[in-house]
Amino acid sequence: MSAYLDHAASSPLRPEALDAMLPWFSEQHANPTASHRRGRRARQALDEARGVLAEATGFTRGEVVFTGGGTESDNLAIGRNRPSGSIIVGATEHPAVLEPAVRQGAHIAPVNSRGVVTADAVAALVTEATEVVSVMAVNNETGVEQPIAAIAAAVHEQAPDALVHSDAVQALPWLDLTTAAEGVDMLSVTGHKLGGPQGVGAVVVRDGKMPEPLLVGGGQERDRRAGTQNVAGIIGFAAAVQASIDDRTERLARIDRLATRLLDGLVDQIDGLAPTVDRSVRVPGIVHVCIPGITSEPLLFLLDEQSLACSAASSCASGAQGASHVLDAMGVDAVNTAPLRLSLGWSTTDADIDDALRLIPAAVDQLRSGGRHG
Amino acid sequence: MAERVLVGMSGGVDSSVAAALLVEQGFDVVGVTMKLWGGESDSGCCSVSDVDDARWVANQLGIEHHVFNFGDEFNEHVVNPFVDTHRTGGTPNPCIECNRHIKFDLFFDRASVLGFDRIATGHYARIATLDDGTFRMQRSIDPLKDQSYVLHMLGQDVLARVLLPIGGWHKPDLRAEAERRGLVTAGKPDSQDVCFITKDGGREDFLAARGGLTPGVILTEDGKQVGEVPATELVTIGQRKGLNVSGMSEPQFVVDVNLQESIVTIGPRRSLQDIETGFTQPVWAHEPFTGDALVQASAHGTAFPAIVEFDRVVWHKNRDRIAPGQSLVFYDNDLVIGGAIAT
Repeated sequence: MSAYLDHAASSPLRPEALDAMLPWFSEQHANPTASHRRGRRARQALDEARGVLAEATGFTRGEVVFTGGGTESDNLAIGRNRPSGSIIVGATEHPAVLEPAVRQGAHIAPVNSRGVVTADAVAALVTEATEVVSVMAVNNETGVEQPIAAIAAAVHEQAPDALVHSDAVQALPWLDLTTAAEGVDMLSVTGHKLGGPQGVGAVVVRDGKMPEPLLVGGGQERDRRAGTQNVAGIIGFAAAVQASIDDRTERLARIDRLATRLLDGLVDQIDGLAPTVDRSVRVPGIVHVCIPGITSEPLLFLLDEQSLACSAASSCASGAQGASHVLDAMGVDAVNTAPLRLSLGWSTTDADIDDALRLIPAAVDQLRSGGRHG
Repeated sequence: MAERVLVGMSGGVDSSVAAALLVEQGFDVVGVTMKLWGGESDSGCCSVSDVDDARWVANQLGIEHHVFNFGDEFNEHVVNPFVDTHRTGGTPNPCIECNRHIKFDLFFDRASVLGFDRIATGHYARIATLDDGTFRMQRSIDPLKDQSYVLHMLGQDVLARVLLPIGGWHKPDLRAEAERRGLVTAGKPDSQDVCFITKDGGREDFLAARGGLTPGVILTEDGKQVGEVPATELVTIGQRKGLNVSGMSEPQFVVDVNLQESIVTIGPRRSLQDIETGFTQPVWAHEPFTGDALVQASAHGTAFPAIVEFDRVVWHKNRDRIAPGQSLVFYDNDLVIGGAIAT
């Protein structure tokens, strides 16, 4: 028995994605730039995948650039060699945005106590020098939705040539980006947060606004990202996105019910446990709670022993648990408190929630009562 | 059901073999690498590549592996006191403080809370059980590697629940054993010195980056200035090298360090010597002790006979003075009775 509540880290592969990929590992395998018919079939399949991503994001097919995942997409969008002060990013961005931005002297837009970067907070930082503004659509730790369409409008009003980017990696499973990201110039998305394979993503960029490529070489992706495409991966990615569009209404309702049951059950059983953000500002599938009196590292250890997979803040390169810059930015006092992220997805069932509601309170009890000779 | 053991795995060869032996002995073993120091290090014990090595060995042994982040606590209990002790003219031993506060306190407590029966480490020392059922830290059978000195502070509650699987091994045999078992860490060099001090920068750069260093003057015992030092904090009582004083009739040693006035006093060997050494903060393996003992004042130094009194040891004959901040460890033959910090 094993319960998986870590979809925001990586969601299991959807069967649709696996089925779609398999032929491209075997009988249909080819290089999509080859001129022979197998190559042409592969290129055609990529074009169809591009169409799915275009439909999902509200961009055109030609504006979709496939990449090696969310981090590459984010790095590409932030760009390189920008003057200090020309980048504005939200305080709770993923490191894939924050790192390249901070290295280039970015301005950091604060979040309010609900974890939201308001359009006003961003607008206050916009100047004539602003080149790129990046605010994530949904936060990876707390699930908080950011008002990116309003941010795009506010930025463009003051600085029409500035590029507005949004890391929509966590948003793609939950939001209709064609409306939620209206007016945004660039979006980063990835496959493995919604049942596609790992290591495949895309950045969609309005025509003519493409930043300098990170990879140059064979001219693939119209010179915007060189290197032979991961054909099977891209096809699996598109299949997962399509499945995710097809079942969105039903899935969101189901996951909202499961997540509500999970949160209510935890609040009910664990003294002092509180949701970190209000349901009204987050997507249904990410449940973030803070549990006072314990720390997350031993909690995750015990849950792991019981085969419940979930996360705390962020894991550093060594695998150790680090402090959360997201909670810091929100002003959450995480001293002697265990942050816990339980993230649901397409494959989550009532059985996962049953396990979580049994295992988490028991683990918290053990840690709270544990002493030197406990 | 097999006893559950949480074994600290640094990614070095010693703890790798320790884990392997525990698995073979039938314990239910889980490996943990403690992430302690987040800054620069040569290899130290906390870099990502060391964690990778520990994880790889755990995988070879078929055991689970976790990382515990004790970085904040390491700063609080080991790094900051290291800096503070230097600032007050003392010579700290950070490995002892790490064992005292991190490995055999935090890690020990964490293991208890997580439901483990015991912890284990790859230290070269043994745990003896006396006739009365109490426990003592005992020297390793390899005198070149013995680490009982840096483990002297363990009390009965900890000794009762610690396993030191390699205390009965000689290092060359242990390496050969690691080789024989195909452990990836078999050929890794021994860790040297303090894990958060780099070879290139040394203590000098480390302390300079944390509040600066104070130049001082070197005086003879009769007050004549004979030289200067760039950093008074880095001078240790007993030090002979690196003073750059010449024209003396006999070898000169540091006999006093006065940080308030930035004065280093040097003198001949006989001025360095003393018949007694004061101490503070004694800890005992079992019960407080006074009387005859062998007393060791550095990690790989010789233990000399002395009488342990309430707040000092009285040596059988004159000994070189011990730098304040160093630990004195009291032995009954090869068993640790207790220890204290020299004043």
